[in-house]
Amino acid sequence: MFAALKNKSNIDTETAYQVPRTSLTWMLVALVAIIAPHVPRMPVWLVGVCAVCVLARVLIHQGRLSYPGFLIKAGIVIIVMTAMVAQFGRDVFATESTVAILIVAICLKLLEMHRKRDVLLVVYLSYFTLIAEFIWSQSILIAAYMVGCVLLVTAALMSLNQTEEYQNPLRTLKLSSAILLQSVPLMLALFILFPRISPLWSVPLQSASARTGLSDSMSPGDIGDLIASDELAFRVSFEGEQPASSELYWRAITLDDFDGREWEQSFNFEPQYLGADRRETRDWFNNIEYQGDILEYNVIMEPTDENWIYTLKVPQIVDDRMVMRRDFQVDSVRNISQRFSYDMRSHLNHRVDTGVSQRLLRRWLRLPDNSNQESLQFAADMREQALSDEAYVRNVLDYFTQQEFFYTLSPPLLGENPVDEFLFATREGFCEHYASSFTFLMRAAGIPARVVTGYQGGEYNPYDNTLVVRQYDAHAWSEVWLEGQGWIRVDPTAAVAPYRIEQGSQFTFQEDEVFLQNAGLSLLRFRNSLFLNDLRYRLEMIDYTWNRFVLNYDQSMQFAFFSRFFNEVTREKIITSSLVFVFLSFSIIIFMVLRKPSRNHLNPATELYLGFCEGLSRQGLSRKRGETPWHYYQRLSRIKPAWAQQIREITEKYIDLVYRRRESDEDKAAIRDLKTQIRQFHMMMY
Amino acid sequence: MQDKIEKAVSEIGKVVFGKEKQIRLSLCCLFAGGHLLMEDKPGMGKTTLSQALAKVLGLQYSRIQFTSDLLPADILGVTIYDQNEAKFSFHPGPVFSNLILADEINRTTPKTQSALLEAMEEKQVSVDGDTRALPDPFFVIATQNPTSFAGTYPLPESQLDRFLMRMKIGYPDPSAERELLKNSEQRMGVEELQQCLDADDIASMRKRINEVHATDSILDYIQRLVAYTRQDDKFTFGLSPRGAISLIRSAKTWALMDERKHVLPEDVQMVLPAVTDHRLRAVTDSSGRHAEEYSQRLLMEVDIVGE
Repeated sequence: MFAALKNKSNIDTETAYQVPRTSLTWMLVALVAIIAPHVPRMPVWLVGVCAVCVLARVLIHQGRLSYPGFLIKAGIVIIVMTAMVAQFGRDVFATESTVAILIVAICLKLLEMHRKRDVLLVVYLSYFTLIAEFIWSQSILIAAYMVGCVLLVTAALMSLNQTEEYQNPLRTLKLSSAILLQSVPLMLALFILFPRISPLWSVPLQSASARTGLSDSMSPGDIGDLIASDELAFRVSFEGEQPASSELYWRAITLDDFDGREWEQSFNFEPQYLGADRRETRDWFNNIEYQGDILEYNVIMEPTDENWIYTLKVPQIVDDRMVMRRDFQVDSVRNISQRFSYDMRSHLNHRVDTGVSQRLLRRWLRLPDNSNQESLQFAADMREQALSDEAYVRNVLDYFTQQEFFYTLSPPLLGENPVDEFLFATREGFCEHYASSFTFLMRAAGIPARVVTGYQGGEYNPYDNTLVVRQYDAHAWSEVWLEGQGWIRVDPTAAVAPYRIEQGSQFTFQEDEVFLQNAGLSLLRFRNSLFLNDLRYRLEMIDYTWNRFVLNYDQSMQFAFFSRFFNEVTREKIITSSLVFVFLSFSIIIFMVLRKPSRNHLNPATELYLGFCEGLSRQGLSRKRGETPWHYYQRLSRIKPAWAQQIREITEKYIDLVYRRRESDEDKAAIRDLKTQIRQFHMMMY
Repeated sequence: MQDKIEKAVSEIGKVVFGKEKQIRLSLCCLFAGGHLLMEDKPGMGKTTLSQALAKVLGLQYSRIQFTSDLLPADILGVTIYDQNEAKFSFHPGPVFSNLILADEINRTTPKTQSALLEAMEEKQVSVDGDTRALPDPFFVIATQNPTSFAGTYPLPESQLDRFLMRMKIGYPDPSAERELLKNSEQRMGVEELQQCLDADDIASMRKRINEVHATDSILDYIQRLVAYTRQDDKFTFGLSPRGAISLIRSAKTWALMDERKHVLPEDVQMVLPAVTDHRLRAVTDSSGRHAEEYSQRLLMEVDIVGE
């Protein structure tokens, strides 16, 4: 193939612009570094195309290969574009594919860098492509990596404009890091001051569906899958005391529709956020009985591309970006496609819906016909034996405790009637099995009940006082409605495996091979090593700080920052002050550039003498460049005989210091002497 | 020592009128251990000056008049079969003296020129396979007519570089010329001059040159000068490192002749034209005829104090 390229070439390598070697080196290194993080998202053949382009460029530079001709270039472009369309199909305009197109375009451009203009284009495109990585990850590590890439691209840009004498690539890299360091203050200022404007448009991410996390339905085995992942779900920092782990039931989704196998949210429930029953007023919201202290906390949740938000029951919304549903599930107005930070208040002690209408409660009693018949019968028998609903709840929990039920991550598969099979045959299950069958038994006995999925517990980081909740903390439990008590939480898992609630899932499952099986070589595996665990806490703290104060820096934080300086913060004030800042900093830069070059490399005596000459030149008596100090004195003594004596003394002292003496410590006294004498002369002169 | 030098200068001044600076420069060149090239039109006193130098310094002196048919053997010497002793014996040529006046060196062929120039560089000659050392001190004062004159073989740059200094004598000023015209009849012959210095004086001068101190400021100035010739695109080529070394050595010698132990920028400026003119070539002047302008330019443009 290369031989063919060579013959077809229509550009004469001899006359073409030769990219400086240093520049090409840094450009290719930078390009490889920029593309590297994208590789897992690119089709394998595309990575191959890019690699061949880079290799071909090296060969072209070495003169072993000529630039490809027009037909070959056109052919490559058509083939690549066709293959892209074939690969991505309808998603060819999604983010991943457009970034892939951008990358392959840069690589192909390498093959036709004939002129300096082409090289500049590649450099600017590299800067652009570099930013694309932040669509997928904004972690502190990626940010640091990208700073490194900026360094490399800048080095390529600089060496492009350097003369042949700058042969050492490391020197250029050093220079480019110096330039980047110099830009840090401006960068920080712009970060803080630049007005935050919400994006004008957004592009859907193709990988959205691939996220790990809860889903809006629950069937046996769903949550068990999450246990294998150590991905972060969200982080919480509490104002004041942190509640006990057994209180931390993070609600995400309430499920009320059961089809015999799977729990779902009933669809018709969704549009009416505040009142489920048309005749019901908004009063239910005000009828919540709060008891005890209020708990305030801030949550930073990882993107889920869903609407639900994690709260502790019962939440009190303080943010207009979210609404509460009738079943106390809180939804964000927008899809959470980016990391999302919100403040929340909760009353852990409460009574809700004590006076709700029977009509509404019927929603949480529905069961499918002709399914799990055995369990229905079992529930009817149990209810008959119990004196009250409360006693029935207790009896069912006792049944889980007393019979041979096992809490396990790898339960056997269940068939058509999973509740029947679980309760009477397998008796091995994970939290969703217990929550599902418990809720079923409640409804079968006429007690309104629902399944809640979310997260339970979390890990407390002692370094920054945050609670880290990971996917393996996913959990499912039940809520039942009892006369006089309203909705109360019942966790059947706690009856079977109380340690799961008290100590968290990582202690419960650490021996289980399913646990963390998707987590790779995670530091979480080494939680038994004190040192590594400590290290992990510290890394998480850094990551949390980065998320909270850098990635999460938005308009409200900006306003909070400015409120330190202004009584009333407005957008106009922010814009004005940033303009003033930019103007000032540019004035400083211009001043520094236009100022006379510093003389700090000169020896102090010469510096003084030049000051002396400058004083004289203001009188129109400037020294000529090639005039020796002594000749200068002689000329001056003819023009200004009155000053001759002083000028002579200064000149003699200077000559003595600079030409006669070998350098010694005595110089300091002599220099001081010269300084006073020159100052006296200047005073006399004016 | 100073007195001796002053006396030598005034003694030579008796035959070369109004050329004190040139006399001092040629003495400086000889003390610094370098060879001197005197270039001027015929009749300007080149030969007189070099003869007077030899006389005043009291050196063993031989003069070679270069012509177009001069052969290397005429300078270096020949091996002749001696019939009385029945063996070959070497008859040394005029090059075996302390001071050689190579008159009109550009009149002879390059082959003969290079024979002399090799001797100058290596201070030894090889004749018939035997290497014979030249006496010490060994100076060459070469004179040449400007290369544009008819019948000359111009010295190439590589050979010009071997002369420490190139000097022009120049027309005498009116008063000196007047005196010359007045006393043309009773003008003193070179033979009548007194010897003022001897070989030991020269050797001790040479030793003391190394004791003269050049401060960083002086070295900075010299480096700026050299850098200027290399960077300015008016010059075809800049000063070589040998040129820079020659400059500092000449400046030190000049300072020493002024009884100083340190170099002043004036010393550098004084020797600069003689040391650099023949080593520089301007882009616009391929023949090198307007050499004075280059050094003047250097003296004017390069800052002494430093920026």
